[in-house]
This record gives sequence, structure tokens and C-alpha cells, in this order.
Amino acid sequence: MSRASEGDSVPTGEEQGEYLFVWGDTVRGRRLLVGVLVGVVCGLIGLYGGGWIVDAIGVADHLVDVWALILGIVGCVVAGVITARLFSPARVISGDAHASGSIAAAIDELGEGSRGLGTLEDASALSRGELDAAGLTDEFRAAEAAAAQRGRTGGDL
Amino acid sequence: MEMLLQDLPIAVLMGLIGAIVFTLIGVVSGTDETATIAPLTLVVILIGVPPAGVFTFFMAAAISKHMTHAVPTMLLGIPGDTLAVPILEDAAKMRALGLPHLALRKAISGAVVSAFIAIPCAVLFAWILSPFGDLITAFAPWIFLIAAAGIAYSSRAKLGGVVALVPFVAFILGLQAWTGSFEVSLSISYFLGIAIGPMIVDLVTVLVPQNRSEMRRSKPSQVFLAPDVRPGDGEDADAVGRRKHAGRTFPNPFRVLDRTQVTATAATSVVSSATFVFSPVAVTVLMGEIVGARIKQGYQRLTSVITAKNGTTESTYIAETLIPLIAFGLPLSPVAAGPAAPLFNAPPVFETNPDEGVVNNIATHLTTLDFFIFALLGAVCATAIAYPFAMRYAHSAATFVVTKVSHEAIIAAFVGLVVVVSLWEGGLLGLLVVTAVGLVGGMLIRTVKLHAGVLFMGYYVAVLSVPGILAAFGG
Repeated sequence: MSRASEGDSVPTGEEQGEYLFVWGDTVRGRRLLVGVLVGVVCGLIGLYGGGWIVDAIGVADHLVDVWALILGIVGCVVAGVITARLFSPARVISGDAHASGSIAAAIDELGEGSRGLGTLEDASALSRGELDAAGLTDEFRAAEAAAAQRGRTGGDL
Repeated sequence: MEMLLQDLPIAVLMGLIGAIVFTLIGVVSGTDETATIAPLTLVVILIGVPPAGVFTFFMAAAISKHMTHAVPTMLLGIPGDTLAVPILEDAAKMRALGLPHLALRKAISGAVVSAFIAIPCAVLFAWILSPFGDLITAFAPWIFLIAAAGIAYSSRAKLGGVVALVPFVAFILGLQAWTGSFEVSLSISYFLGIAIGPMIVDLVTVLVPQNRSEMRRSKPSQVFLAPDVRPGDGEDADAVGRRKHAGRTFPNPFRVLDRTQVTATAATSVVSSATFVFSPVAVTVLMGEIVGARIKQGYQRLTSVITAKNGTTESTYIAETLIPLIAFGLPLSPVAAGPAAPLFNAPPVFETNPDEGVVNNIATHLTTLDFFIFALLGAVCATAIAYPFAMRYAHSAATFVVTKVSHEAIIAAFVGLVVVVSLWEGGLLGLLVVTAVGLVGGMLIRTVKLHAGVLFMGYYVAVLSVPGILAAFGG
């Protein structure tokens, strides 16, 4: 395995992308490092600093340990709050997905598989009412008709 | 009965606290159950809350979490926790149809129905199994071994999972022996390491330059946030009036679900209560497939599967906690070995080691009737807090999390948690163990497709089965 040719031409962050996909979501590298450090520091302050304070104010010996753990966990929550205040999420929020293209594709996907799409007559009154209220009845009817047509021309499974 | 009444006030208080805390935690995506419920349950035990209060806290926490985990799952497409993962694909289809809020209402209603069915079912199954409790305790080392192998085989890894379990058990034995040489005994560090393993793997992976370039993205994550649709939108004036009278914040779950969905939820709740040794994720997937195979119409199939699956997330957790506690007093299920572990082992309050003849856990202090009553109380507290919260504030909560809580903040909090709990339990040795177990366990989860439940059982094989079996053979 040779990567020697890449040694002097490592792509820059802008070329590769400034985001990293870590543990299921995107982050920014330096901010992740800061967040990790904040988490560790706040946790340690809560655990050891809090434990020292609790001991100093004279809490019973057998409870000092537990309070140190509680304050350590509080420190972790504080770390989360601090990091959230420091850095905004690396996410793009998009709005409405109520586009005819995605609805038709979703209905087609429901029709895949051995059970197929079925007909609205097979559904309960509540389900039919929900589709009515959402304005989706006509789309389901159209998909049923298309499936029936495919069944007549393409043959059954 | 007198003791039960005496413990009732503290149980109510702890149930409400558990419900409130975990209603809020459940809305934050990625908050694994073991990593959140186990440490806080441990704290509750160690501060001296009576067993009734501890148990009610745990049940309210677990049930609330599996209600509000549906919020980010349905509205954002991000799993609220581990058990929300099997519902992601179905949630995506409902979002594509423009109906994520309906999916959320169905899921939460299914959770409520399932929780109240699963509790008496689990107690009944436990009662049926309890005559075999002593026999099972005597053969506990072998039973853990067989259960671990069975759970590994039932995971996506199949035979590979069973094979991978062997070196993992050896690894745990090695760590135990090493920390034991310093007279340090650890337990929660192992559980936390397993639970947070994937995060630890990713954080180490990102330090490797080649891996870092592969993890780079040119754009941030795209998150779809469904528009806020309240119950009653799109209906005629009379229906809106009736609904306003009934209250928008607490719709009757039996009116949100049709008869097929109620029946499916009830049936899957009973069945999944009996399959208490299997992975909750696997059982959730299985119940969804069973329900989906029986419904003809596509939309009704989709909504029924979502309802039944989320109901199963409740019933599996309830059964996998109650049955091992009532019938055996041993952590003989993935949930008992994972998020409920402090109920069995929380030194110096609780200890479970049948090999050394020590079984002093929460089951030693509560009767079957206590478990039944306090589990119901936990369900009532969870329903009273989480259900109206999710129905009324789901959109606001999801908006807040996705716009204000960065992923860096979530990682910061969890890294802190790992450091705090491991240092608290075992100092630097605890920190080394949690990092090592997290790295190895996380890689097994990522590459061998094991799940955390298998690894939890692997831990118990190392701690209970191996010494017991070696002793039986004169080793």
C-alpha cells in the first residue's frame, strides 16, 4: 500500500470539507476538541472540587462519595450547556417535506413487499379518516389503480 | 402491606423525579439508555433512597424515556436512543407522507397501552418461572453462558457474534484480574464502556489522519423538522370542538389507535414480555415484522407497525427488568445486565454474586406484590408526565434540541460522564478500563455487528460463569 505520492499534497480542510461525521452527526473538528476538553474539565471540577467542598462543609463521611458523584454528573450537564452556548449546531434545518414527489415515492414504497399496497377498503375507518384529513386519499387511490394495472399487464408474483 | 404503604410517599416522589428527568433526557437524540439510566439509578441507590423508591424511579425513567424518544425519532429522523433505531425507517416513511406528528401520537399511545399490559404479564410470567428460581440460581453460571451465546446468535452477527464473544470474555477476565491485583473492583465502568463504545471508537478514529479524511463532510447534516401540527388540525368545526373539550394535551390513546392497532400492541406486549432473554432491539424488530405481515393495507400496516414497535420498546424493558428480579434475583436478561445493572450491583448497597453465595440486591428487599405495585406506580408517573409533554411540547422540544444543542455539546456531556463515573468508581484504573472496554466493545458493535446486550451478557459470563464453571471442574 503506497500513499507516498499524497504525502506532500494533503487536501486542505476547505477542499475536503470542514465537517466531520462523528457518532451519528456532523461536528467541526476544533469545536469537538474544545467540547471534549470542557467535558473533562467540568466533570473533574464537579467530581473532585465538589467532593472537596462537600467534605469541607461537614457532610457525613458515607455520603461524601455519593455527593461527589452527583456533583460530577452536574458538572457534565454544565459542560453540555457551556459547549451548547459556545457552539451552534452543525446542522441545516429544512422545513416541509410535503412534496408530491416524496409522497408518491413513499406510497410506492409501502406497496413494495409481499403484502403490497392493498386497498383503502381494507383499512380501518380511522385510518381512512386520517388519510382524508391529510389530503392523501386521492394519491392512495391513484397508486392502487396503478398497482392494479400493473397486476393486469405484468402478472402476479 | 404496611411496609408498602409506608414506602408509598417516597416511591411517588422518586417516580415523579424519574419521569420528569427522563422525559427531558428522552428528547435529546442519541442518549443511550444504559449510559443515562444506569448512572442516575446508581446515584439514587447510593444516596440511601429505600428500594421501593429506587425501583419506582427506574421504572418511571425507563417508561418515560421510551415515550419521548419518539420525539426526535419521528420529527427529526434521529434516533432518540438505542431502542428507537428499529423505528427509524418507518418514521421516515411517515415523514415522507407528511404525517410525522400522527406517527408520534400513534407511537406514544402504543407505549402507554403496552406499559400497562406488560406489567401484569411480566409479573405473571415471573410467578410461573419462580418455582424454578433456586434451580436456576444453582445452574446460573451455565445459564448465563447459554443465554449469552443465544443472544449473540440471535443478533445480526449470528455465528460470528458467538465466536467474537469468546475473546471479549477473555478480555474482561484479563482486565478484572489486572485491576484485582490492585484490589480495585469495577462494575459500572464496564457497563458504561460498553454503552458508550461507539462514541469512544469514533473519537479515537477521528485522531487517525487517514480515518479523519474519510470522516470529513463538505456539508453539515440535513435535518428535516416537521411543521407543528396539533391534534384537530384539518377537522371540521364539530370535531375540533369535541377535541378541545377532550383536551389537546391528553388525548385518549384508545381514540388515537384503531382496534387493529390496540390488538397488535396488546398481543406484542404479551409476547415480548415472555421473550425476556432476547435483545430488546431484536424483539422490537421481530414484533414489527409479525404485525406487518398480518395487515393488508399499506398505510394501516405502517401506522400499526410503528405503534406495536414503540409499544414493544416499553414491554421488553419492563419484562426484562421484572422477570429476572422476581423469578431469579439474577440479572438474566440484556436489560437486567445493562441499564438495570445497579439494581443488582451497587456496592456497598447491593451485590449479586451467586458463585460466592452473595445475592443481596433489590429483589431481596421487595416482594412480588411490591414489584407489581411500584412498577404500576412508575408507569402512572411516566404517563402523567411524559404523555402530555410529548403531545403538547414535542415540536418545541425538538426545535430547541436541533437548533440549540450542538452535537459537540452532547459529546462533551458524555465524555464528561465517562470520565466522572469511571474515576469515581476506580480512579485511573476505572478510566483505563472504561476506555479499553469502550474501544474494544465499540469496535465489536461497529464491525462484527454485535449489539450492547450481547456484550453486557459477555461481561456476566466473565464475572459469573467462568469462575463458576472452573470451580465446578475443580479449576
